[in-house]
Amino acid sequence: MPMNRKHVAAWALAACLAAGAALAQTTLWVKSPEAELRQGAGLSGPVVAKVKQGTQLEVVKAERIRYLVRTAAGQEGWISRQKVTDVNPAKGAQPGGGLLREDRSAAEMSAATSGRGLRQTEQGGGLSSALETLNRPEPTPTPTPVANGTQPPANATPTPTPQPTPTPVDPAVVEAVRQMEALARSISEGDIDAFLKAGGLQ
Amino acid sequence: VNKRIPRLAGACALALVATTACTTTEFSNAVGSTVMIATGDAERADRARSAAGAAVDTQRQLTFEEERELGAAIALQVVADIGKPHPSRELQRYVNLVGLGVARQSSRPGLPYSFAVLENETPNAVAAPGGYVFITTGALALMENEAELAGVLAHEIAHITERHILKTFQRSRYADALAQGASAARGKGRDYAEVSRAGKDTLLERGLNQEFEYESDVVGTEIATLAGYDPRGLRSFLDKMGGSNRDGGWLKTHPNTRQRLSQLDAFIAGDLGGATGIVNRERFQQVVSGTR
Repeated sequence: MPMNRKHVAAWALAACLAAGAALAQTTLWVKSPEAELRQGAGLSGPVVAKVKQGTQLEVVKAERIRYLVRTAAGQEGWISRQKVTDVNPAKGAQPGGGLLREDRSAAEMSAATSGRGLRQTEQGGGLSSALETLNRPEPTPTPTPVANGTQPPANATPTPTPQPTPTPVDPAVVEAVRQMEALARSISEGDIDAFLKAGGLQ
Repeated sequence: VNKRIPRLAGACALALVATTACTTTEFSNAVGSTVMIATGDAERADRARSAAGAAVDTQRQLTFEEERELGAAIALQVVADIGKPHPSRELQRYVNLVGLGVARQSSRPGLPYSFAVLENETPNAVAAPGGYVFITTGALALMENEAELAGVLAHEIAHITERHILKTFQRSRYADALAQGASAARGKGRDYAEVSRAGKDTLLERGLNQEFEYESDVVGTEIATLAGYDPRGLRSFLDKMGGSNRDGGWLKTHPNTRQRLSQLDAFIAGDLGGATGIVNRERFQQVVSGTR
């Protein structure tokens, strides 16, 4: 039975939408330095495998906070949603799309994968950029051309235009945030490892 | 048929563009072109282009650098409003170590997180985009162990990883100012200050959307558990907050405590399979008690 135009249109549209949906991947990659695949959905289930950063995983089933995944070697286990990304680390950040709908910038991605031994390099110009922007004066308005081509005399005293002055940020507050950043930067990966170990956490 | 084919092509292009979209300008131009192809109506195409731009602007994710910059501006406002940092370097370092240990388990472990204890008797904890987390001495005074501290910090980390304050902005009238003001290259001090003040007001006065708070309870509890802490840390703190006679702070800006406890109980028993973990009461007491 020949399909009418509406059917053709509907099938074509469905095919296009399916193609679009296919872009939403079911492939994930491990983004933590190491993660555990567990048997059973609870976080306390036995560990069936440990997977390293960048390992490719296929999603078998998705739940609210975790995925049942399969490795290339065929091992299956549950992994936390926090431990995986839909951005292929080999290709870098990709905007939009994907199962997790992440859009991590190259800077953050690089920071995430470079290890905390390089904590200093993770710093964007957060505080200094914010201060620069907060303290930036309003731009001076461009003079409006005078009608009829007449220009004010060169020696005329310009009328001062009141410019709103940004409220200066209290230097003590700036210093507090600066020290907060500096203290965190001074803590190395090794410091965190030692702290966790001493507390029986790892 | 001649009219249907271009419309169909337009619909397909729209569907594909929507799944792969790109920058606001590229997207809105693509939508405009699609409508132009489908309808042949230039005015309609312009309207569609404009509407698409507006729609995407409210969903636009800031870059890491923009997020970090906005977070720093809000952090300045938060410190100015709540109070100065506690002078004990030992306490500040301890809270950073707990926070950084938990943040490792989050969905954005590479962010440059930093944590500060601020001197204020009202129990409160807030997070600013890009990795800034604050907790008051009043909140620490209610805690008895490290798992509670980890739970609260993890709740705040979850606000950052899930981009809750950015999403709150993008639903608000500040969306345009955020899009323009967050870029240092284009931003104007006055607009930017207004946005960062609005951020501080959201965190300290109005509070985030309740769904975001519930989500942070769940995500925070999960990452604290992944770090090895007792998943009941946040729950225990909330219970104390609910039973305290204090006003303001978390109680002012967060949803009903009983509902949060109920949700957490279900999450811990169900999703976390009744997991257990470390509490570390002694280490917490050793550091924090000496600074009270």
